Amino acid sequence: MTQMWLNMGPQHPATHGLWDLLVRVDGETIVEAQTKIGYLHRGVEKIAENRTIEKFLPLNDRLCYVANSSWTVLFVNAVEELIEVVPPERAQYIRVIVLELQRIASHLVWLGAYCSDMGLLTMILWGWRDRELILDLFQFLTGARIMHNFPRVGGVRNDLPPTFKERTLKAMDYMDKRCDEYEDICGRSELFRMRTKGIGPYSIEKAIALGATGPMLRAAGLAQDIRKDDPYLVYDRLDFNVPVGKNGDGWDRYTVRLEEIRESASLVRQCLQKMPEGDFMLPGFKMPKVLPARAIYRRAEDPRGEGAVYIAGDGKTNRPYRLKIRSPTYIHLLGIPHYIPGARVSDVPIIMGGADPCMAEVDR
Amino acid sequence: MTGTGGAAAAAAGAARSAFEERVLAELGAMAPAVSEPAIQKPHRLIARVKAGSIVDVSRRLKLIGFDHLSCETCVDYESEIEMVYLLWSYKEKCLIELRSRISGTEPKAASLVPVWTGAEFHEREAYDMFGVIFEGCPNLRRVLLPDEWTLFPFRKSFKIESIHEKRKRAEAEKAKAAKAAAAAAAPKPPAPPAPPAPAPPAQNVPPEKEAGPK
Repeated sequence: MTQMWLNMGPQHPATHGLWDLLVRVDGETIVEAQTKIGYLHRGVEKIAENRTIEKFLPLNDRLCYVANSSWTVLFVNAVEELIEVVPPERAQYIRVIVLELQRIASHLVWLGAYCSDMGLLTMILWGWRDRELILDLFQFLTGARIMHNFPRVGGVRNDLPPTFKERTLKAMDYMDKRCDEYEDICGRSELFRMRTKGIGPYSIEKAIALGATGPMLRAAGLAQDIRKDDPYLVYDRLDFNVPVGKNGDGWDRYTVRLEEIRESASLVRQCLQKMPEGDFMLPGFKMPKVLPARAIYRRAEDPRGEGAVYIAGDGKTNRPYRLKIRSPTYIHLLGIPHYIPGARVSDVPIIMGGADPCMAEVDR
Repeated sequence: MTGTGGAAAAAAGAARSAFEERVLAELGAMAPAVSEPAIQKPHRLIARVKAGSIVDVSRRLKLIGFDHLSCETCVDYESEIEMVYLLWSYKEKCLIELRSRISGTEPKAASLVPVWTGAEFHEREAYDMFGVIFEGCPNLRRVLLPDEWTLFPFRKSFKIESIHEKRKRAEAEKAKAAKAAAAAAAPKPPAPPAPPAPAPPAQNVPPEKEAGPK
């Protein structure tokens, strides 16, 4: 049989953004693949070198259009470690609430898109409808639905609005109920199982060698979570489980992420209960005029994996000398050619979608 | 411990796990290749590595337990480039940062692909943005920028203009052009006095054409 190259992208519905997976097929079987990315490259890291910290802050929201505040919180955490500032406890709790709400919203978008890839179109409507709940909460809290620009160095922009707690608790209870329904419509669907089980599997060793992190690694069976292993903010005071899969195939990626929605809902509940009264911003805090001449590497559990920021000051200006953003999906997408050979063409969207690509963050 | 800021750093001296001691001893044994090993704070180590021995050092660290290459990147100090490697141990929950300096004019570093397959992705990005050549990297091509691009935009020598600088430059160019036009127009008045006597209209055209290219 003759072999030929196929372009799965950049305008393929399964790419969930602009990227291209070139696959060489022998009949229906994939023998080789190449990832082509960079369509959305904006040079965010270079822009940061020419902006003060405060001016760069809103750009962090643009790093990922699905989990915006995750990146802003991570950046703010890194800057705080660089200038040696500890935000008030209440601000840390608020940040965790924002992070976990963001994780739920991000996983819902992923679930909807993933299921629509295999023709389960009910799920994309359900997923996006329930995400609206989270977006409403964000609008209530920050005034914006997508680009919140909410965390600040030294705290957060504003305190929780008066009825936020009740509304959020109600939404989280609803989310738990909805998770059961997702399980009914996806997990119990014979079609869904057939399309995901055994598709694109990889072992723990392979995942570690390729640098896979987050749900992609947990799906392979390694129970690691930066929130637990290398705790930041107040995660060490909260109680949660780390869901794991077994084979790293499409099915395990789904179960891990669905379980994470439940865990996140429980984390939000715990935060709202444990949250102390107090300042949401360091009183009288001002950004220093000069960033210290050292470098900080700060990691966080992004909804997609290990997000990290390497930020170096130069001791002369208030602009970062170098900012490196470690994007988890960048690694996942470039790793696809290492485990896709042997799969069928019809399975490619499942494998591509399973990585949960968010191109704004991949191309930076 | 919230893990944020100075409080944790202050406690670094007190809390030293057995694993950190072991890594420090191991780094000390690699003495000429590794220098200044230190504990920054709990679960954070740092060391300097000679550029030539990064593969050996990371291979040994992987054997000790640093199994995850979290990040590999570089910082441009114009004359030199500092390579930064961040390794994480899933078992011991510890991060080590390795730094090594390479030449800034001809940046070359050894590839870590023999140790971690995933190093290729970090190295491609560092090549794309900084022009660092990784010897032994199997697929060292542009990744985010187009293949035909020749510049390395994250080098400090690559300046980006702000809107104000762009406007300033445009204004300066405009002023220069106006000045040149004025200068070109200025010789014109003396020109008519020279050929006034013959003054047939046909002869007036060529001098103007000559003035144009000036």
